[in-house]
Amino acid sequence: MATQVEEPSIPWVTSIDDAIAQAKTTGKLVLLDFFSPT
Amino acid sequence: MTYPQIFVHDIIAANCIPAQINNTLDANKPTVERFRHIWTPDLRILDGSGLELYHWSGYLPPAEFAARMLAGLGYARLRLRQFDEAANHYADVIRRFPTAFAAPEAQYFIGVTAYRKTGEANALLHGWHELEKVYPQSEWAVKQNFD
Repeated sequence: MATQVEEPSIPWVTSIDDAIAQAKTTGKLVLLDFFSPT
Repeated sequence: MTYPQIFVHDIIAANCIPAQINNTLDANKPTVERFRHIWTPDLRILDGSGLELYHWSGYLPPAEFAARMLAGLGYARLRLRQFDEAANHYADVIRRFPTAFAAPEAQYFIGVTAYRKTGEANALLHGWHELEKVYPQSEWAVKQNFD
């Protein structure tokens, strides 16, 4: 039986202002991805 | 799919707060207008003040995306004058993805980063010599020619 490998999931933030606030706190950068659902 | 790839996930997780904005939602119209977003895929790298430091458009397969992401992180850190972090990201591009579209750009900015950090012209020329040697047909090899 094949072992199912769980794909890693990215913890997307859906508010740009929340993401910027978190970046300011952590010293990380924001990756902003605009998308259209298909 | 690009994001489920573990190496893409790890680059994002280690370096970024990831924000995904659905451009079809009315609630996101202010963000769409704020960033003058017009087309997807549309990816930006911002600092902790919300300033956009790097941008690219269009789909990239996972390895190309990862290389572009690292080059973008390098440029963002370079603009923030965080030279060691920038150099590490650019070195990562060359070490892990030497044939990626973003690799010549990374090699170009390896020289720029070293020059900005040290003020030594030789550091710039060494990086650009490598660019001309390894990626002679690239747009970035043209850009480093200031004759």
